[in-house]
Amino acid sequence: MEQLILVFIAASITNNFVLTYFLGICPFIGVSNKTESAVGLGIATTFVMTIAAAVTWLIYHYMLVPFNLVFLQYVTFIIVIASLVQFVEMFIRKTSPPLYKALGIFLPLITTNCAILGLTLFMVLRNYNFLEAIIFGLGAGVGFTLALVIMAGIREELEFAEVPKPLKGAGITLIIAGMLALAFMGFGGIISG
Amino acid sequence: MVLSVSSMAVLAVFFAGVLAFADKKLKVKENPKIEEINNLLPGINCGACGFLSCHDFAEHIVTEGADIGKCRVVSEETREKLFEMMGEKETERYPKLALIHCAARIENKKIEADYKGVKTCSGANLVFGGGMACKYGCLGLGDCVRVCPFDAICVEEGLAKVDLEKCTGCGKCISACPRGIIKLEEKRYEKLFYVACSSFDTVIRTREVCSAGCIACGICVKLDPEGGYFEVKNNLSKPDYAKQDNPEKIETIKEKCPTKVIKEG
Repeated sequence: MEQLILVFIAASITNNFVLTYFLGICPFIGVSNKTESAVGLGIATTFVMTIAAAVTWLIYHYMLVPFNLVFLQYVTFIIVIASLVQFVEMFIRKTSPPLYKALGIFLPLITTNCAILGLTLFMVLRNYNFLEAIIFGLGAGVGFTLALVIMAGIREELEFAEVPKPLKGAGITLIIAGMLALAFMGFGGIISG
Repeated sequence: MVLSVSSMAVLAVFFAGVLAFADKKLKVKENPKIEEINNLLPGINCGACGFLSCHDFAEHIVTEGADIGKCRVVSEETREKLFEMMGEKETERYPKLALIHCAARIENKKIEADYKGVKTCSGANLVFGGGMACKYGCLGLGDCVRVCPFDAICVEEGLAKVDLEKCTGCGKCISACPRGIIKLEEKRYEKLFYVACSSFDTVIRTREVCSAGCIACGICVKLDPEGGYFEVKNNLSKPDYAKQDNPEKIETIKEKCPTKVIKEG
């Protein structure tokens, strides 16, 4: 149990995928201008991450390893992720058209979000067991959502700030992302791994 | 080899099956009218109507009754067909044309320095107008040409020229021009006259840097003060587009303009 909590906290806060590994920066900058859509994309990504972690764990341990096909792991993982994203896209389109519109291109782009491929590869690398893998996926998703929502909150306030003209838009966003990353590095000592 | 291929095939078939099943279950029913209208729209997603894409526009037409006339690209017949489909009547409106408010060709311009940078207007505009003395005129590097979805603009002798036959008034070039000299005007009457200059410089300065610019001499005003066809303000003459219902009169004024800067669009 303790191990599971550690995995969760490590994935979501101390080793936050966006702010310490710098994975998945594209949606982090692209969808963080409104809290609503940030939460939407965060939940969608969390869902994909959790399921992807579980499915890839099963495929890796019951198919790739026994048949000596580990060299196919990248292809396999991408197939899993792409199918999941397709599924999520259909689901969101059916259940929440406004969210579907707000996310736009970033929804299918979850497929190419390196945070998710990174997650599955880390999971293999660190030899997690099945339960740990699921928690790891969930934690990474929560961490991603957290980073996105914090960023969106800041950017909404930023609308009223006087930003120097050359830094407007992407420039100031990247600077803030850097500061946030610095702040998150402060958590680094809590847990290692 | 066989094992790897077959295992990938099994995985692919499995996920394809799941997705096919999900597609059936989660299918979103779209109003068939949206697709029909979308097929009639030009499909170039120029955005002149104010919506994200042609499909988005079609959706708004069906669901929220957006104004079909906002699309300036479709041909007359298709527009009529669209109005017919939605059971609406078209309100009268005038075609909009993009007019280049500069008349200076290379021989008219005074060049103070040689520009060797990126060959775009926005680039040249950042470094002292790419060496061109006039702060207002056309840079002639063709940002508007590249952005035009209809191939209606070309650069001739250092001056952008709009093919008014091809121009649909979508307005893309307006925002592409770093100097803001392209303006959209409604063609309300048979002929449309405009002043092809944007310079607010004083007479002396304009004369110095360009031989084709408006020198604000006021002849266009003096020739017919009652008509009020033109107005000189900030060293620049500006036509009153609402009063161009008398083309012969303006034609004579146009002939009298000393720098021939009044053009017909």
